Amino acid sequence: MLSFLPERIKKAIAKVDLTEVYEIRLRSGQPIIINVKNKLKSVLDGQLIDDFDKGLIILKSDLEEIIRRATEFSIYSFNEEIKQGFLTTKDGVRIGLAGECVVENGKIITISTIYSVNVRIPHEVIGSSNKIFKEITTDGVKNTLIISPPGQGKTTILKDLIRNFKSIPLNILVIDERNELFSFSNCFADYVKNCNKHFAFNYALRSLSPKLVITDELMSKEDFLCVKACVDSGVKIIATIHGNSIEKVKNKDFYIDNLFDKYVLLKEFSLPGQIEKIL
Amino acid sequence: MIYLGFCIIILTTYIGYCFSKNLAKRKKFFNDFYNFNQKIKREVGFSKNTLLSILDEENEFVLLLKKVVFESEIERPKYLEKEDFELFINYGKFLGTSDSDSQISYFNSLNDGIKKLLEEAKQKEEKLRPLYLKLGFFIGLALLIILL
Repeated sequence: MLSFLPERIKKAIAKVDLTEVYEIRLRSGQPIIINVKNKLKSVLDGQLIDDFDKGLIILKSDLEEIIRRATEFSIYSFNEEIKQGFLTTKDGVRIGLAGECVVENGKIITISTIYSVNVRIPHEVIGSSNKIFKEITTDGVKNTLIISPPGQGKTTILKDLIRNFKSIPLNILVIDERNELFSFSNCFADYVKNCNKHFAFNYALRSLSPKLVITDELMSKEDFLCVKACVDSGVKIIATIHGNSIEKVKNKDFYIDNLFDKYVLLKEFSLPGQIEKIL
Repeated sequence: MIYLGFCIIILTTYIGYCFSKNLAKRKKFFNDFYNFNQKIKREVGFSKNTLLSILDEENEFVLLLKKVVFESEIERPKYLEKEDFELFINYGKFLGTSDSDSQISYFNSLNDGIKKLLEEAKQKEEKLRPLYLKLGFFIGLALLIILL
């Protein structure tokens, strides 16, 4: 899964249990930082340590190698993602990028000179969405919005929800903008990957006639208008959004009311996927 | 003695043939280079396939290019001149390192140059290949006469 990491980093984290790792943060000239179950650690000689100053220092060349390998030596193939500040490897590992944006005519054409990367380790927690699934499918599928701050397991829950939907015969469309939702246990749905929501909603609703659309991270007015068009045409929707309370989400200026029947708030500062409340 | 003479002529002609083979290989190299440059323009511009899939072929040119792209150093093949090799190395090192627009404009800028080198390699082969063979044969013959 982490084949894109340089050998010396691979060696350093070889003994770390990746099932407990949420993120690996690599900054040029700084020690490696690993998020293990929401506790930050560094690593030295294969051992997790608390003293960051003694951790393995990341070199600029490490970051360059990561980008080369993660893009399969083909920046042109990933540039649309890079422009948005991330790239997703073929194994579904999302790498967040920070560096110098190259701007031309007011538009970002790429990010050059990467200074830091954040490797998010995808997890598939079978059964993590069972409770939510029961709640939102009793008496028909409900339009549902899953709310949590970043890194609290929205995507993990969503992946497991898709798996659970296998038991209901429905045409399911997964709009997978960042290529994170696919896994072999939920490959029975239709996937539209690597394209923006607006395009995916428009073309896939027409051509794939889904009964349920599942998508990650509603971020803008445009996203909500897509959801509205979807709900108005009788297609059910399950989506996620960043936030730490239902009220705050409803107060966002791009939020459109009366679209969702159920709201699922995930617990903050806990293990990913823990439910705070379902409303 | 006739036996020995035969062996000398065959040997020197073979040496001439080996020299001429490099000319044919150089021509084939530039022919493959030109075709690859056309192909990659389509791949990068339209399908945006990654280099790993584009270079998933077993022909000699692609195998050599793979080494340049994925490995750090390679040795210059005997059939390539120093300038040919430098051009090829720069090409391989540039592959995949930027967005599709700059990749394609780089491929376009090299197109005529590669075609010119292909034409030159063709002419050189046509001119020198028979010469090397004849030279090998006549050197063998001259050695035989001297020995006699």
